[in-house]
Amino acid sequence: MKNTIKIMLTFLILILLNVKTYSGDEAYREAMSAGLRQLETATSTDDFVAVANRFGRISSVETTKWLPSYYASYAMTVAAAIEEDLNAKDLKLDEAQQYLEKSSSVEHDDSEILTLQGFIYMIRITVDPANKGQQYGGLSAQALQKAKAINPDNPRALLLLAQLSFGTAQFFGSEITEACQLNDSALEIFEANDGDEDSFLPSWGRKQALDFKKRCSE
Amino acid sequence: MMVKKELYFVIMLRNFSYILFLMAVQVHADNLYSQATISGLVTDSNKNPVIGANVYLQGTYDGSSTDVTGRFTFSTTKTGIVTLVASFIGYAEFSKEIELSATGFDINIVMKESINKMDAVVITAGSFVAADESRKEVMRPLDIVTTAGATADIPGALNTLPGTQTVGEEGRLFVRGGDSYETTTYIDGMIVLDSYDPTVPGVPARNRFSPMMFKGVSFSTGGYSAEYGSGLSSALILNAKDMATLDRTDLSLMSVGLEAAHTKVWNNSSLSGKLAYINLEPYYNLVKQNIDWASPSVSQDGNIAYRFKTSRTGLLKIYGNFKFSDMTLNYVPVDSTGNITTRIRNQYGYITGSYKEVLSDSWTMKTGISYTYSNDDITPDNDIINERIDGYHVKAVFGHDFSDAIVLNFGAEMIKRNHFQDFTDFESGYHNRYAFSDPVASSFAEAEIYISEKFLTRIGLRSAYHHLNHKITIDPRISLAYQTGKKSQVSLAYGKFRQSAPDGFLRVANNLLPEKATHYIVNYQISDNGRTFRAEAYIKNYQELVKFTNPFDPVSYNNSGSGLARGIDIFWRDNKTIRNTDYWVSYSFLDTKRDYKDFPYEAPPYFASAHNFSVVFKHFVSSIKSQIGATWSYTSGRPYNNPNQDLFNEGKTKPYYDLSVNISYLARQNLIVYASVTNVFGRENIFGYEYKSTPDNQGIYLGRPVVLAAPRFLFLGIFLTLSKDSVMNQLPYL
Repeated sequence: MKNTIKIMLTFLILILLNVKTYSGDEAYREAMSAGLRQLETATSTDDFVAVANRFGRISSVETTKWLPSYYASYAMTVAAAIEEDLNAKDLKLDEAQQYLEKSSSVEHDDSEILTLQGFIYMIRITVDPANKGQQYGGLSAQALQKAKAINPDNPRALLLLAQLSFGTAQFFGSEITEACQLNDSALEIFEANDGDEDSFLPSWGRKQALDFKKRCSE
Repeated sequence: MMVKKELYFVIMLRNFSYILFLMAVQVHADNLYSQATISGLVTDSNKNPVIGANVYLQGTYDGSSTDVTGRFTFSTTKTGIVTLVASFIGYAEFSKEIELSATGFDINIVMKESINKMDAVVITAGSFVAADESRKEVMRPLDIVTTAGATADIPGALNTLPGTQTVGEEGRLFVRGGDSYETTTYIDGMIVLDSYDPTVPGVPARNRFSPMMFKGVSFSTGGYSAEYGSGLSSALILNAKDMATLDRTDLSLMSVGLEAAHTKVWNNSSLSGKLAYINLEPYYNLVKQNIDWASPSVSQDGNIAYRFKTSRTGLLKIYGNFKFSDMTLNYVPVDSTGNITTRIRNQYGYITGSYKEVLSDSWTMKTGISYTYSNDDITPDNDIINERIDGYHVKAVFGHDFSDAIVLNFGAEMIKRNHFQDFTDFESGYHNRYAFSDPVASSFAEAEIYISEKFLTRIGLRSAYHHLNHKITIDPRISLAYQTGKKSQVSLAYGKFRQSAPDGFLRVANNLLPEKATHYIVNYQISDNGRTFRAEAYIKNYQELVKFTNPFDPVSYNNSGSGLARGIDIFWRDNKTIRNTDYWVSYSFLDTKRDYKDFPYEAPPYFASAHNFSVVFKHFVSSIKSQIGATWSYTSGRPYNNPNQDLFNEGKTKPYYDLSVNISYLARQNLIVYASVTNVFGRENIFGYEYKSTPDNQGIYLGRPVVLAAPRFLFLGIFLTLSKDSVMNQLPYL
């Protein structure tokens, strides 16, 4: 019977441990995966806000991790990008900026944070292009160039830089080849990295780069 | 037996493990699947649903976003007492402890909008604000640069707003029946003395400061905050840009001169410098002028701006401007027959430093100091007139938030102006000096109280000690604003305003008291997504205005003058209806009379026009990458005094019309070509008449019209920006 008790106790401990691990890392992983799945299927502003809120909730618990608030910021920026009401767009960008600052206050990937910062600035331009264009265009380019300098193989930095220079080139009727080449190199990096889904590290942008390529060949 | 025992044990173990497995499932299930549902509705205080709010249990991942109806629902495995949180940007975070039972929980949440944020009511009576920061403002600093007819001059652009009367030959701001000296300019809260470039009759003055320096321009046509004194009619409050964000070099080649600017940015500081050389001679050689220039205006202008972030919230700003200008003209005064050669030289310096810091959650501090120096040497026919104004301003303002709804600002300042005019007659050697030194110490306190999100009051008191005549003044200022709808509001303002007597009079009669005006304003504004309508009615009562019978005799001066101005201002702006087009329409009605200076009795002053109407139009044409602009202005006839008529200031000029156009062409992303012309049709506007002081032998006073030196002003400029970030030097921003 001694043995039985031993075994019982072992099982019990295992079970308890099991429960413990579940409510720790496993819960985090599950919540992140669910959030990323929701991000993949989101289409409307409200969808993206819901995704941002979800990551925001995770970030309020996981205060030492940069990814939850990073994704909250990213989803809020996309929500702002497709939001039509200019006031609401600006407010969403304020919130995205807050999440980004939260994310960069803990250990993080500088290149990714700067890329997202460049993205937020880029959408800020669209709130009021006539008045904000010069300021935020410059800030966006600056952040993205820095992101690229830190990690030349960050495809998201390359992709956004390509989009920024494409817009400018198109407006001035100048050559778009440089922008398209930049996008091609972003795409190459996307194709080479299958992405490590378990790490939850930023992997967005491949689809945007493919869409962008179509515009280049038009 | 042994085997049997083992087998038994294994079976038992299996059963047991099965039980354990069940237990484990049970344990998991307790954690995972025994769920309570929390649902509810989130609304704002007006019962409108809040969409996209984040509702969750504190310290868990459990939560949801509200849908388009404001509803949310989610489940949790938590039991017992938990904290439910609802958050949404622009609203105060909601949190409440609730006790969860197995049946779940349903709750209606009302979120309070954070006051002082986006949709809270603001006081609009008497104030036009052009700012980059706030989304509520009707104007942007860039609007000033791109207004046709203004040629990037701040007062020029503000003259297209209601509440101003165009006085084309002077180019200065005249607000609501007030004289030009009644508008006082402030940079970062610090006073600017002599804010216009020197000029000669027939050439309108320009403001000394470039609109591109500022992130915000607040133009008050009355009823402004108790923080600002020494302005009877109007305060022009300019807020210089904060720290620069990009290294850049700007080069400008203009039909009137050259400019070069460079900005360098470090981690916590930035430094910008600009040098300009302006020479009007080539232009005047090309475009015929009605003035006999012996040597047209040449000036050198330097600007420096330094910003230092002292902490995350603290900012030190230093700005300096110096300018030397020199011009000589041959001029025939109305009373003279011969040419008088006059040289006008001006040396100007202005420096201001301001420091802002957030002291704690509820305390803020602003301090500043400014110094102005302006020296004119004018030599008509070898006589020497040396005029100088210099003065400093020191100021400290503290702000305290008692709560979200009550903010108190209070502060103290000292403004000291010194002025003299020396006159030396070339032939006789006669010398005369008029001078004054006018220190004024003031303090103010002002509370902003949100009675609700819809109802704001601002109550202020300003007291001043005028050392020159030992007078203590106390002036109340009160404003109210009430939101009548989501996009509309009504504001009221009342206040007493005081300003030291104008320099030209105070230097003769040092005992003159400050002049006084009382404003009453009612304003209605409605704005919706790019369209703004506002209407304002006002009454302004002048008292203690300076009167004299002989300008050179101090004894003839007193403060017995008075006046009244009343009117209606209408403004409409729309940048939504027509694609790529922005336009605004202003109309001002003014009825005013005053008895001041050497007026024999109450009469309308020469700058007062009953009707001012202007339309500003800007359209971007993508196909030619250009913005084209046009401004049409109309000003009804202005009074002038014709000594051949019985009554004073009885004469009336013909109306003034002007159509000005401009074009900005984005040649490359860092290269802008700009051209503008005022008064395209070359209409010969007459602004008034001046008469000889003695009649001819038939008893008739001979006169001549006051006109501009040239009907049109043409301007051409090429602006190049160089910066390190090659991707985008300068986005289309015009």
